[in-house]
Amino acid sequence: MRYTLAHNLLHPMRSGRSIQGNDETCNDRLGETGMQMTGEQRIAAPRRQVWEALNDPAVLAQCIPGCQSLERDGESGFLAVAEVKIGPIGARFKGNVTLSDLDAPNGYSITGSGNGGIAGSARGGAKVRLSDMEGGGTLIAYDVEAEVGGRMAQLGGPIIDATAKSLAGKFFGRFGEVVGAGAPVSAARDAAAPPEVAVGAIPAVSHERGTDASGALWGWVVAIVLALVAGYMLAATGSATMVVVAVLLVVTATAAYEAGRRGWGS
Amino acid sequence: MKPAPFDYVRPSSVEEACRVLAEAGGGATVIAGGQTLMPLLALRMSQPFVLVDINGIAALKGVTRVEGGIRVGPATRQADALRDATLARHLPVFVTALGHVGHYQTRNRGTVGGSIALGEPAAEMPATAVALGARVEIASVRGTRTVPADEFYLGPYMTVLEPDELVTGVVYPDWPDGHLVLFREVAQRPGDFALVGLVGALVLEGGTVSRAGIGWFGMGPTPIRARQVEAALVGTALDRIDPQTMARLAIADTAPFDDHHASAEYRRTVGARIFARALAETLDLRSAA
Repeated sequence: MRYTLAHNLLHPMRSGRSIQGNDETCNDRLGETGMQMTGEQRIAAPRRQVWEALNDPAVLAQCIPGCQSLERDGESGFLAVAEVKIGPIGARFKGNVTLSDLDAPNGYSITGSGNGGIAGSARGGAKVRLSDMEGGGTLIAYDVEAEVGGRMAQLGGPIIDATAKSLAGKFFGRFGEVVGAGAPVSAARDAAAPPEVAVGAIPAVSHERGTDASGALWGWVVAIVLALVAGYMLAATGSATMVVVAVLLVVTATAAYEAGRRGWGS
Repeated sequence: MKPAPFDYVRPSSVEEACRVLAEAGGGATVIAGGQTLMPLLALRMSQPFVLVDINGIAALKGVTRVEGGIRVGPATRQADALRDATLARHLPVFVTALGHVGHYQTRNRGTVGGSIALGEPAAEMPATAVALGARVEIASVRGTRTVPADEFYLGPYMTVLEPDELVTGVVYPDWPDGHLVLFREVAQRPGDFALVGLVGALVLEGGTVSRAGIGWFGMGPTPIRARQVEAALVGTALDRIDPQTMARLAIADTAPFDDHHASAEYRRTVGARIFARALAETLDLRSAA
């Protein structure tokens, strides 16, 4: 045998034709590979909390396997960068995701497309429904349809399917941990640190995330410098202006912290 | 085509390799023979930041007898394992399967562990490990662990290996000398990947099958152990074995899929046929001897 992985990628045309001499199979190999997947996941948290988590970029970024960044883009959209790995193959997909048919807290539809450069591209959508389970907890039902094109598609439908299932499993496993852990969703949203820590465990991420970290650092440098200046003025001018300076100090520090957190200046 | 830039590290011990893998935090890829990885690097389908070359680690090479089995170092070249006297004598089923891996040229560089860690579902080495009940030894900075081969594979090219882990050995349990080898594969061309294949070992005692280990490749998302037919064979006298019945049982555990090479139905049909034929021939040879 020869390894199908490299073989398929190197000689899609040759194997496609020589094996069956069938144009249809050949087109299938060189074009797009469709994928469908349905599944259910039980989450040990109330429906409202699951709904909020499903709309929370910070929670999603923690749960999407290989997610390097996820940012809000408009009212109901996200910009995402995620690394998809199939064995030794790794591709960084950049894409946008839009939420539609928003029906809080019952479900929504996701549509999106991503480009993985040389590895290929993917587009598709999913319908997500939430329902209460007997005895507490929430059932998430999902119905995914996607098309994968380019070199990755040449791996063949079964391998794409298996990868998608594995990714979905990892996502919901992690989602269940994050949401079901009892941590209030709002807390997860406010804390900028947890997703960065989780994401930082992935290698390529540290590169991508470096800019955000420098943004936070920048914010803090400004805060400290301004606080020092304010402190110097405080000592120099005496107690009369103390209240004004104290207010100034607090406002400056808060603004700088906010700037750092949002990554301005990165 | 040229690979994307990467750092290259050639550690001289398992500890050092594990440390590099841990520090890379998942951005590293292990290279042994490179028979799959090098084309992927050239295509830029694989873009690791660090390539960890384990060819300088002596502890990962060679074949040794250990308590209750034979240990094959993962960086052992397939060509070297094919010539190994211990394997030839005590584990002929392994050698038979290995002879079908790739081509003469690729076996000179390709390693046993590379094939096992890649987890190609149509490859001989993973299925052989699963069929024979091998255990995969794994190390990382967090410690070592041993995983049975049939729990090692999760899907196509998906294994339980974490990004910071390294396969440090594959231990095949002892199979009695003189065990019968069951091997058959159907491929488009010699040396091509298998559409359907089976590998296994049978032990006979006094005209009865006393032990069986049988695995499929190309018959599902992972190598698959044919447990139902193993159970049916063990304890059955040779003259009561009906190859057709056994073949039906053998494919019961499989989960083949349709792809551009063959349909699931084709794989099941051909799988049953080659199983019946291989079983009949193997047992006939024995009774004629």
